[in-house]
Amino acid sequence: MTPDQSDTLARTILVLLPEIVLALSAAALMVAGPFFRQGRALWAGLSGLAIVGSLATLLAISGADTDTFAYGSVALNDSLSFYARLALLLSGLILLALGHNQVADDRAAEFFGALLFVIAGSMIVSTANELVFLFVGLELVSIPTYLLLYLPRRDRQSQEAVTKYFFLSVFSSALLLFGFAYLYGLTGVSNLKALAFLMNQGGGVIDSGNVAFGLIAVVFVMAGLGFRVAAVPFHFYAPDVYQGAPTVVTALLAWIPKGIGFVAMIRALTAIVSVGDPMLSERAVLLAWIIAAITLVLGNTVALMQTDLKRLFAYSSIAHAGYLMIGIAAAFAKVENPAEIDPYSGTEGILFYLAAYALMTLGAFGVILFLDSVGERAETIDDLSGLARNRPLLSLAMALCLFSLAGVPPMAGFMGKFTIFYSAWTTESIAGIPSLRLLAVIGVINAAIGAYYYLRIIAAMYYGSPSESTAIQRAQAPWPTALAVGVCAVLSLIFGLVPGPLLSASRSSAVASIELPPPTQEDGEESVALVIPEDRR
Amino acid sequence: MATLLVVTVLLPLLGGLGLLLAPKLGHTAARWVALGTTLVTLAFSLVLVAGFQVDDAGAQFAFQGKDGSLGIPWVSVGSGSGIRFTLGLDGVALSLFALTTLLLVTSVFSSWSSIVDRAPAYYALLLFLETGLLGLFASLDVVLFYIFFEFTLIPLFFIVGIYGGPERRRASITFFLYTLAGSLLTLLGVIALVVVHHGHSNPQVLTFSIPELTEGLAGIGWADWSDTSSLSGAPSFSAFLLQPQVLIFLLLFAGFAIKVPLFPFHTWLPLAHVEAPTAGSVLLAGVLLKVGGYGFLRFNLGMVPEGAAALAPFLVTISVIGIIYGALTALAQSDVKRLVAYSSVSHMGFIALGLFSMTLVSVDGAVLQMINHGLTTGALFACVGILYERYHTREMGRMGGVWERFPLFAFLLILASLGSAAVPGLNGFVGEFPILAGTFSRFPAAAVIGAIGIILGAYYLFVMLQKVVFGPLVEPAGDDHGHHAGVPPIRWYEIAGLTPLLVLIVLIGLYPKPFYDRITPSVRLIVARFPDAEAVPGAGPIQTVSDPGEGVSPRALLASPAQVITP
Repeated sequence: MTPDQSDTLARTILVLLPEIVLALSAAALMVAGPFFRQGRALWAGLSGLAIVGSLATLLAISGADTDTFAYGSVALNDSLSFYARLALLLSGLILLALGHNQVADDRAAEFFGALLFVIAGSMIVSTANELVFLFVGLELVSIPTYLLLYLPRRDRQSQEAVTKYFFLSVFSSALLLFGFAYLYGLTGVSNLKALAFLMNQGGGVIDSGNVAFGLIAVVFVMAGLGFRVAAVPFHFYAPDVYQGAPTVVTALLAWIPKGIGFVAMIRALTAIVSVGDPMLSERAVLLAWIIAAITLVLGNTVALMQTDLKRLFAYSSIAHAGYLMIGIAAAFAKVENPAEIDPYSGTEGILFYLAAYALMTLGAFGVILFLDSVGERAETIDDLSGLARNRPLLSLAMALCLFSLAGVPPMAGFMGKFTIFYSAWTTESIAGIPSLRLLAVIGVINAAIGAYYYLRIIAAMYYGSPSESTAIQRAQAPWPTALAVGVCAVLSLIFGLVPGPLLSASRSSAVASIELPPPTQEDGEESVALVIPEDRR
Repeated sequence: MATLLVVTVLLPLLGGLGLLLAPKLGHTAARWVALGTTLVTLAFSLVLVAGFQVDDAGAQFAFQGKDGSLGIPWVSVGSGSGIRFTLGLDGVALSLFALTTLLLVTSVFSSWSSIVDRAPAYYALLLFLETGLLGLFASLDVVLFYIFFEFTLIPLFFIVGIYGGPERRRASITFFLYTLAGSLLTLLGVIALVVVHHGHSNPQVLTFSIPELTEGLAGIGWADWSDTSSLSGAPSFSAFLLQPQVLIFLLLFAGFAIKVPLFPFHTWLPLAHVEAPTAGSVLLAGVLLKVGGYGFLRFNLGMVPEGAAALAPFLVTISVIGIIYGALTALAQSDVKRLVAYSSVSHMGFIALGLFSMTLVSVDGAVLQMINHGLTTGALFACVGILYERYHTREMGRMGGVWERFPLFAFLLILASLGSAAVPGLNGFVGEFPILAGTFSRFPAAAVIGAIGIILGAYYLFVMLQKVVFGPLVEPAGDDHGHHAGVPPIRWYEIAGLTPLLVLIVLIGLYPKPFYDRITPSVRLIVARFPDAEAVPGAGPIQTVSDPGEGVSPRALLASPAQVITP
């Protein structure tokens, strides 16, 4: 039986409960903030509770199945949505731990409220099954981010960063909407699963006449999301904003927008284009190919010249967007049968890589924050010189994260690169465009170049001698920061040694992202926003 | 036995972790822990050697799962057997495995008094390196192999970078990046092998197992795969390169050629060797370079033999250039350690020559030569380390007449040098002669030029001996002490580290049969898949004569190829 609208609505709200919990808590924090003058510890603790509560809700609703509602519901509860939300909530806890002492008491409530909104928004993106809802999620991430950028520190550098970020972010949202409009215009539906279904079985949604419209949609959506993930040519804000922002927000910027940017690409682009007509998917592969190659080369080579840690990590995050774009290129390639996709698909690679990337990047920024909070300078590579002598464990954690970023076994970063390169290599070559295998070769050469700047940091930590001032006192950092750093470093190692759980999670998510449940269509039924091709003509 | 193999591989890791968790440990305690761990590992590996079935060519000591596939599932992929934690040893791997455990003991001894600062971490890194090396030789799964392969970089990076000479920082980064760049291309090659096998095997199997891939790739029915034209037969250069076997060969080749290192890719080696602490050099030259040779044999020759055959003339050429170039450069050195480092380039050229000549005799010789080179070069680097401890210089001009001061040490140094110079009766000869003999049957010119390399090798080693060992006693002026008082005598641990190597140098030289017995069946399995093995003149007789089962003496084995060539 086809679910009617109230069923659909009830199910949607059920599925969205974790986000609702989070958003309500965030709103409550922000409202309560001005009335209660409390220390930041309280607000941080409450935010932690909110995240844990949301986590519990997520686990409680994990059984709610949305397959029958796929063509009507705005939110899905498939594997991708479950695992992505789980990962985002856990990384939210890590971010909270890193940021718990980074803001003054009088602004703490707003800061943590904004953080919770960002997490809620990012979760909405990963669960969204509707163009508009996806956009709402993205904006729910962007708007609190402006606050976050500005709240902890109100100096000129911060102002410049937030202004830059604000204008570019608004611009990218406009591009994204423009692209979404074309996607909608092509099919007349805004439900993502329905879009994919029409592309796959609609017959002639894309023909030689309107392939240009499809391409415009792909180009603009890629452009809009390219800003979020900091892919060339939309990367140029990243170094300045990363450098100007407070460190904890830099960590957030390096992970959340990138993570949800790629999840949104999977939801709104690759899952739709790859099941559709090869005319469009081949062009999309070419587009992703070019972006990936340029992003890789630019990110890695410019990173070589950086001495400022935050700028270095900014370019490194651009480079990692490049590796992930290889996965996007592979994911764009034509999928013959959405019901069964090969192991090591591009989507799977992206998801695994994102998880590994979150751990290693947050861990590396965590180390910088750790040093910040004990009053040691950690702005340039030289500031880390000789760290291993004074703080062996912290250096070990940093080294683990950096080796993981460099993609050296047995770290999680290696398995990420392995899955991405495997997906690129296994993709059938398409006549007329450069092979993805060439892209994989470019990728590995860049991985070797990229290892240099990570090694420079490690070399400074282990081979350098500590400067006089830092050698005197070894202040202890607060436990949440230390715990977060430790968790990131240890998990980077563990997921490299035991990648099985993470791989199977990303595989089932990849399958779910591309799966098209059989529609339960009844004649005359209008409540489901599904237009079968006969009706359309 | 299967459990013992896993234990042997993981034991050093445990020892290393223990040391790492006790950073306050004094260097005396740390070195005893390290020595104990390496000795137990050596003992276990000797048990494995004793338990090895000589006439079995396949991998032994592997776990057999309930479903018939080897090892323990590690990462499941699709419906296939997935990536598995599979360890096992065939004859080739066994030899290198045992060599590794032996050289680790030598490295601990050669660090005995020289490493004091941050000693627990140092020995921990050394033990991590051992696990990496043992794991990669024992891996029967491509991904597992690759993980161990790359993992070895991390401990060595720190060993060179923290405990090395004045240029250690640059040396460690150069070494790491150079090797990483190559091995990432190898990763693509490995992926390509799996993808080709998955796409063209019938029925489709996604496997990462080395034996299954080797077997499967030889039998897949894909026309492009088995037809490989040489450069002269291909329509154009790019068409030649894009043939699947050639392309995959080159991808795999990139990483291993840097590891070996073959001639144009050797530039990282002298720097890394000179800056590394003695133990680092011993392991680098003794085992890590062999990883390249092992990779060539296991992947390049084992899985894409047609590609190897198509590229053979080119590969043989650069091997020969490497032999001559390495020898000439070694001749020009005044620094002993540099001299030994360049001699490695030359000797590894011989090993590559033997492998890429692709005859049973030469490949057999190359594998034995890998062991030989590990022993002799390991011993030479240990000797250089001992000298450096005493004189704090490696300049040959500033020392001489060591014989007068340390007769026993001088004897050991001379023996190791003679072994390296391929003097008959010592191990270098029984390795290099089959290489040249086998090569001569296919590439006579290469064999002739390669033989010049042996002469040059003897020349630079004898020049070194003449300057360092013989002649009047020359010692760098002691700092505050009198002229001679500052030089401590040779200690027991220095002798203890060198002796087993030198015993083996003589033993292999006099009686190589037990070693060939274990190596040959496994090599034969790989050689059997080489294209047009029958077309090679005299290949048949070579194979029968070198069959160890017929009780042919090692001398006859060595002599046979020369007789074969005459018709």
